Amino acid sequence: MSPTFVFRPGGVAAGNVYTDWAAMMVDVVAEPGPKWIEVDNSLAPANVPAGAWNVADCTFVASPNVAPGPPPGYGTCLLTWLDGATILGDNVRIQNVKFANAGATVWTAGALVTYVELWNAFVVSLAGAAPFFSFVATFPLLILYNSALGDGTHNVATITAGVTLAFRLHANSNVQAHALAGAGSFAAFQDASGLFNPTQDNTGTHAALLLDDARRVSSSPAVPAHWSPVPTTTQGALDQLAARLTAAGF
Amino acid sequence: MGRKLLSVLTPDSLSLSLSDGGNVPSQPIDENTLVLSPADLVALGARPVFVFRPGGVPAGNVYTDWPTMMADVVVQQGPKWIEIDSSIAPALVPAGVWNIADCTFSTSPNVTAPGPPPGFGTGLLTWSNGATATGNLLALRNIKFASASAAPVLTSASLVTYVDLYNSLVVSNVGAAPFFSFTANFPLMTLFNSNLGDGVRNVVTTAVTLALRLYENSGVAAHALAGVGAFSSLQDDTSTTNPTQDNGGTQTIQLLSAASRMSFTAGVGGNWQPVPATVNVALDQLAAPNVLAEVNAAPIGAAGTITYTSVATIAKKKSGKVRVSISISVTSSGIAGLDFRMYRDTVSGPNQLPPHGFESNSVALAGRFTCTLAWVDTLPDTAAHVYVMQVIADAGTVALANGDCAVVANEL
Repeated sequence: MSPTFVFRPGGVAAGNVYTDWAAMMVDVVAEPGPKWIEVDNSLAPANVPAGAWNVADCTFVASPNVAPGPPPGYGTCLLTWLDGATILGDNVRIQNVKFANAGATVWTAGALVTYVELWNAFVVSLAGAAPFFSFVATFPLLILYNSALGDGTHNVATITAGVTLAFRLHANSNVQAHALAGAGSFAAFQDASGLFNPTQDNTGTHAALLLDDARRVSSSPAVPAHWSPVPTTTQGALDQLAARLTAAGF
Repeated sequence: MGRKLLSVLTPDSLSLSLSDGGNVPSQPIDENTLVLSPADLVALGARPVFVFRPGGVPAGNVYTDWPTMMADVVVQQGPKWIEIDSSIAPALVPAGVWNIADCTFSTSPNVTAPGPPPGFGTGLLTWSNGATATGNLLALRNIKFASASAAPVLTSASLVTYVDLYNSLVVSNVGAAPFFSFTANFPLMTLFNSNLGDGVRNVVTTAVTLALRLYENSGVAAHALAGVGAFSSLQDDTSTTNPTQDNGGTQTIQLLSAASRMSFTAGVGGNWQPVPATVNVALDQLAAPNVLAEVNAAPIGAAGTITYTSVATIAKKKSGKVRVSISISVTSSGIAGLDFRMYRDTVSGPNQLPPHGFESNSVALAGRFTCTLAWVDTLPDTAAHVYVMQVIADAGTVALANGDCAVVANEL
């Protein structure tokens, strides 16, 4: 079988093209190894019906038939998880697709390590819906590249007490306000282009850790003569400014 | 519902059928091997990976002829991967219109160096004159695309054109037209450790606003962009959009990395108070004035010794080096010398700051004397401190009028 599957509701089923989610997932779970599910909602909304769906090792991608779109536009490639639709499995990647849930929590992750990667993607919970994710066991890890979590209003993930959700925010990724809820904690490692809104609803520890370090950011003075020695890092430049005239007197 | 490949194996035969009733075209079967043509596999949706190896031997998913391969590529639904193997012969795309929607191009491990920028290795796919590409959702990984065509290779007018470069390079060769032509919103190019252009020739001509996202050491070289359109480049602090571009529209470069999200570890913690943890706080701390400046608001009556202590305070914010200057003008009576002394906090020997000032009053019965003392003090701790001027008359008295003592202390 092919490791690629096209979910095209309203289309014509043939080969690896499916119009029915449940039928597709029968074949998806039979496929070993990594697999790709392309979401094509150009003909009809792409909805995941109620049921427990094993998407372990799946990468969701957008069809070229729809606008894949990046944040903050997020395009029009949307996969909506209807009430009662739940996810099983681990190692899931979402690429150029927006995930939304319209009912109960979709993904209750209790694996030792739950790994979710967003690449130019977006996950939200719609009004009235429960948070998309529920992390009930350590260690959940969300890695975002040019992606976003939440819409600034609704919770997207609830973290159980004692569990710490780990984030890696790279390349203009962000976690919106109120994205996180529950009694658990989070630790967000973010680069200088990532943004973690500090307004979150979880009651556990909030730890935002900065990956970019002034010691590793170069400094090239426009007028080297103003410096002695000429600093090569931002840290060096700042320290030098702070320490100027350390010898007493003029 | 998708189709499945069903098989029935007997000691003497193997028969195949499709779950929806379709038949698999008959194929030669030897004793050990079942051989399906690439087209058969494509028809089954079972062949998302294609290898373009000009000069090689076609077999399975390996193709030596571009049109033959593309005939199978376009049939394949869903994402697909095209591996370029230019290790035997140059990989050239011939004239024609080629639908590469949903394709990810990568370099074969047979190529000596797939290579990242700035070397870009030797994984090269050259688009010959007249070769044009259609489709959306194009991704390049570890490969260089070059156009040798007199016309743009990819003219994209779809609502959203998405091109993703990962460790890749796109250039237009000498005499070639720009590789890309964007004529409708919204074109988006996302680069990771990748580059556009060679610094000389245009790679993109745009009639609209091209959106660029540059991450992880990516760059848009000079002259890469042309046309009457605009570009908006969002880049992290490792990436560069050369400002020398040839497009006529607005040129916007937006920096994604923020000093507030960059950590700072002070090399000498003692030079900071408090020790900042981020670059923006450190910069703000350096920029912020830390000054004590006041003039006495009340007089001090005549006495043998008068002492003025500043009401305002100063505390260490960075180096702790404070330039102190106290200027005082007093009136004296009697024939005497005046001794001017400056202190930090209190009048005591250890707290006295150099220098002394001394004025001789040997003639006049009464006179007005002015003295300015200045020094660079080192604050001993992070507490708030004041400065003191003391004037001692050897004989007679001195007095200070309102507004005649100015104390200035600013941290360096």
